[in-house]
Amino acid sequence: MSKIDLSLKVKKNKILNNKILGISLIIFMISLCSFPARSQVNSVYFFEMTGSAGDKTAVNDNNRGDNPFNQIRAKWFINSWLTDKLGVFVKVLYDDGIDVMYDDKIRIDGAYFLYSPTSKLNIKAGKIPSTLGSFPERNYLEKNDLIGSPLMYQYRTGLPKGTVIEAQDLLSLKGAKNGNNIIYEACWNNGVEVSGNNSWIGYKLAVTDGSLVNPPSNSNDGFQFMGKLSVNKGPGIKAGIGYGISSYLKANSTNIPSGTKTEDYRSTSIITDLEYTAGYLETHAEFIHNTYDIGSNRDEISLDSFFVEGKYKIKPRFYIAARWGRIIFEKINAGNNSKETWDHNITRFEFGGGYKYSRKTILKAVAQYNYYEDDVMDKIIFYAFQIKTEL
Amino acid sequence: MFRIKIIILSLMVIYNLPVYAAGIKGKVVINQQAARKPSGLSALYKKDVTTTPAAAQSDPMAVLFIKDFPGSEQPDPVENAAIAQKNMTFHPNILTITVGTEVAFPNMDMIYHNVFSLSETKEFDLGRYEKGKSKSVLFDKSGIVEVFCEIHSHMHAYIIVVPNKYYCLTRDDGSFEIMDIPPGKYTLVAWSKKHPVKEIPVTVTDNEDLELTIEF
Repeated sequence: MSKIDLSLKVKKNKILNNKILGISLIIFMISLCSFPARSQVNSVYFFEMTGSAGDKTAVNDNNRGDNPFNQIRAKWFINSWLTDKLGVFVKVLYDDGIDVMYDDKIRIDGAYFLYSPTSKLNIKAGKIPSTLGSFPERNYLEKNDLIGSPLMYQYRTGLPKGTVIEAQDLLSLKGAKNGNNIIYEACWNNGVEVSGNNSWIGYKLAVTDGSLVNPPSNSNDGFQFMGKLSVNKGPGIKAGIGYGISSYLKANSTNIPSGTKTEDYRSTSIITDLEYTAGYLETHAEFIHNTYDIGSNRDEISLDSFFVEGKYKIKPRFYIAARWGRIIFEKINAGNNSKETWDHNITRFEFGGGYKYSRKTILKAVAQYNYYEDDVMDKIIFYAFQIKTEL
Repeated sequence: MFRIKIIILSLMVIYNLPVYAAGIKGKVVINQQAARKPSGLSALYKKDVTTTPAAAQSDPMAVLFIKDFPGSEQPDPVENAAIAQKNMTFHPNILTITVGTEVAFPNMDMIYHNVFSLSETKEFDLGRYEKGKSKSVLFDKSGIVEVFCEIHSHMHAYIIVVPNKYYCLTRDDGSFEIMDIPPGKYTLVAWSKKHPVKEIPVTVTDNEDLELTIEF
């Protein structure tokens, strides 16, 4: 029975995705036809071929089986400026590792209109990229110097996505790696974002469906609110702070206590980011504090996560890069007057380097080390090599 | 009459003056449809990257030079050669210099830039530096150098490093002339932005200018 239910849900999700794909393409085509005089379609393809040794899936798989270490991936960015102020953008992902049980190998990650009358006012509407954090912007623009995503942008905790669970029961799901995310970079939600900046300060405000911690939550009736302030004062220094709140459970979640709704279960995120660059050095750091409402009393549990990343160019064509990330889960009551973290704390080191064969083709090699505290599978190490080209 | 000619030629040799007066003249015609379309992220994220208005006005239509001029005489380097980073654009967009010229890259914007090139002629990366600072690169080999900013992918400039003093930039109407070329057989190189480089075999005589129309 559960298998039938699962297949029906998967089918519904795929139908929904196909609808989004179809609607996005129709909007794009209508937009072009409506502004024939001005419209010029620009597109960029990124093609990635990756080989790896070791277990990459256990710690790098995203929700639908897409994984930056999968063998063949392609991204297609299409845009057109319909007028001087109005553009339309579409991002399509192909990943040969996507589990067809859950999604198609090709999907529309984003499709939105951008209205940009001045630098102080930009409005995005549609399926839009994440407002919070700074890594999504870098990944979106293909400025990821390593291959994987930072731990906080990709890791799945043990906290279930579609059921309300009591704190002590959560302890039995430690290390499940199939629950809610922390801030899911690949998740673009439907909504509106208003942003702007002057020479040194910027802002972003967004209302979307869904939640950055759980993509299927866009099926519930709740909203996600996000805001970010960033400062770009002084050479090479950027800093930002953001806040987000959302209803993170998917629709029809089970074990919802009577008198409450799915949408009453909230997650919050406070995220700060810092960038410092000078000469041949580029550094980035982000810190996030998340809370999730759980249990019949909607008690809060939390986690903290951060990463620090550096890149140094040795020669015009060569660079080296490293990233250190960590997730620290809150300690909750485990009975017998003892406390333990609600999931395994994790540390990840990623080292690598890149060689620019040309301005648009780069070869990368990385080694990734993951360490889980108090887990049977405590260490995962693997190596990967990637060729990435822009067409 | 013959005696006068001998005297004039002798004086020219003594004072190291050229003993010829011929050159290559002509016009460059651009077929806009043949231009390579912009591609890549630069084309995707900017509203208009096909031309940079300020730069386009001052850009020459083409640069022409003699490629295989015999002899080892080094041309004089161009003085005060510079490409500034201003308003997130390279100024000038096209710079023509002789081999041995040092080019400065001053940053005049409030933000960082990172000038680099992976061109075969000259590979360099100046890193990130702030407003008011400048770094320089010596161009010691002739050829075409494409210059980019690593941070702002739409920023793109060209440096044409010519091997000798026999070069010119087109005038506003596309006309050009390279004068006082010693007679001989050469390859004339014609470069124009967004078009494949043209190499044209030419024969320069000592008594008549060579007239050419070069179409891109």
